[in-house]
Amino acid sequence: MSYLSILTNEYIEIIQLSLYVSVFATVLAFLFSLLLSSYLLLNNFRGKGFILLIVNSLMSLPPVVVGLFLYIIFSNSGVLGFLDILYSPTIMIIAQFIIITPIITSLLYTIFENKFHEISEYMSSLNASRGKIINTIILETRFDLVIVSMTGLGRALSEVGAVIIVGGNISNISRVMTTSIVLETSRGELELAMYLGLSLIFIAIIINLIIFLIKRVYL
Amino acid sequence: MKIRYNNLLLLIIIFFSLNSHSSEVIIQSTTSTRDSGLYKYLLPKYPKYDSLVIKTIAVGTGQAIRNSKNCDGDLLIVHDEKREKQFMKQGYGIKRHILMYNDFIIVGPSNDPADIRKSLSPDEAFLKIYTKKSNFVSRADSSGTNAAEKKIWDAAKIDPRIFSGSWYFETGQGMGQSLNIAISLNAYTIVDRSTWIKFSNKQNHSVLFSNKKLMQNPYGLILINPDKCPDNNYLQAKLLFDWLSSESTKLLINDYTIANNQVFFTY
Repeated sequence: MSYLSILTNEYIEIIQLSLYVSVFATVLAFLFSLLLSSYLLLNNFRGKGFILLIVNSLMSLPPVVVGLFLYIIFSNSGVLGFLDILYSPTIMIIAQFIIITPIITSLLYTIFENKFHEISEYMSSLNASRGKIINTIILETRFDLVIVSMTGLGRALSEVGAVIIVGGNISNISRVMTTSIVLETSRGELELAMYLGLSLIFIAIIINLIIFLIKRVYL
Repeated sequence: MKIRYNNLLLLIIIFFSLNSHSSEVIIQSTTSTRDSGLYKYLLPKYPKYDSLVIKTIAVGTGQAIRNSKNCDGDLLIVHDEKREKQFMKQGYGIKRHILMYNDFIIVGPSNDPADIRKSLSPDEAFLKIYTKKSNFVSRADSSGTNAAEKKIWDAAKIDPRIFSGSWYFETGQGMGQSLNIAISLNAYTIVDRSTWIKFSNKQNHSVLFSNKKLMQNPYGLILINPDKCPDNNYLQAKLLFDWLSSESTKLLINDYTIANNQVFFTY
């Protein structure tokens, strides 16, 4: 079997859905994390350490646990079952959002904190407002932010444990690259599974190449 | 900051409006029927196929039953008579129909180290595997195939789980994954014929024992009770149930072949 022969409509749709779900989840997680880590950076309050502890711990949350947790909640007999989103791309986006938000938040907070220490004296001499401080930090760390979001996207794209439970791996509806690799392996179609895996790597290379080019143009 | 909040809200709204479930039927099914390719062949022949979204979720029988009890399916297709009857008795199903059957077979390394080829019954074959301590892979995932395997061990009066990890390997995975493991461990395993025919990574393994009478594998189709699951799409599910159990569908099922082998039979 040649690599080109698997490029049927079905596989193109699988790749499109993979990208749609993971990019959507990454954008949402990134925006949420940006707000959360900015808030944590600029405000000191009781329990802040505790929140950071929880966020850091959630980084090691196994995706399959997230999947199970969401299944129980969004199952028709669960509390949010009435929303009717089980076995749809929506719940897959939610699952990936939950998996990657702690990772992005934790990385962003670390980056922001380091930058903050670097510029805090200068900023206080200027009597800068909090909005001004965070704008400066974001502007100066923008390339790190791109890397962080790519880390999140990579994690989302490669995840399988959660999406196979909540998405159900339904052909044309919720089948993404990782779940179809699981399926083809279970059918004993090891070559096809391997080709899908290679396509996943290929996509990762393209994304990273784009980042590399952006960096070269703007730096 | 304010603008960002608004964007987020907008995204969330888009997010939830992406799902329209006007007409959708969910089938909770075993992996073997999905892997056989039967649904891909059969379902598009349903007259209302174009106006209906049919979602088939392929999991082990145990999980399919559990999901259906949670009302996450409108139809259930599984293969474990005992648990199907229990399911009906508990009131989760309103109608049950034996959709079709095939048979279980014992596959293993072609040189047949435990010499089971000439066995007269499946329990004799299992006894030989036990005596020779030949490797055996069990799915151990409370699937229908796993239930059939347990029945044979019981008939042979052997409890293989005592030997779990020495020559009896419990994978806890689906049929295909377990076959991949059996092949690399040179192990025997039990599998339904349709999955075996469709399976591509056979390598050095072949069918060593089969008996259509003693190892029959009937698939039950169950319509979920709307009293237990009022939010289910009972109306569409019942129409599909009726079509699947009709005489014309029986002909279609009997016509389905993989590599010129008939895969499923109807009563």
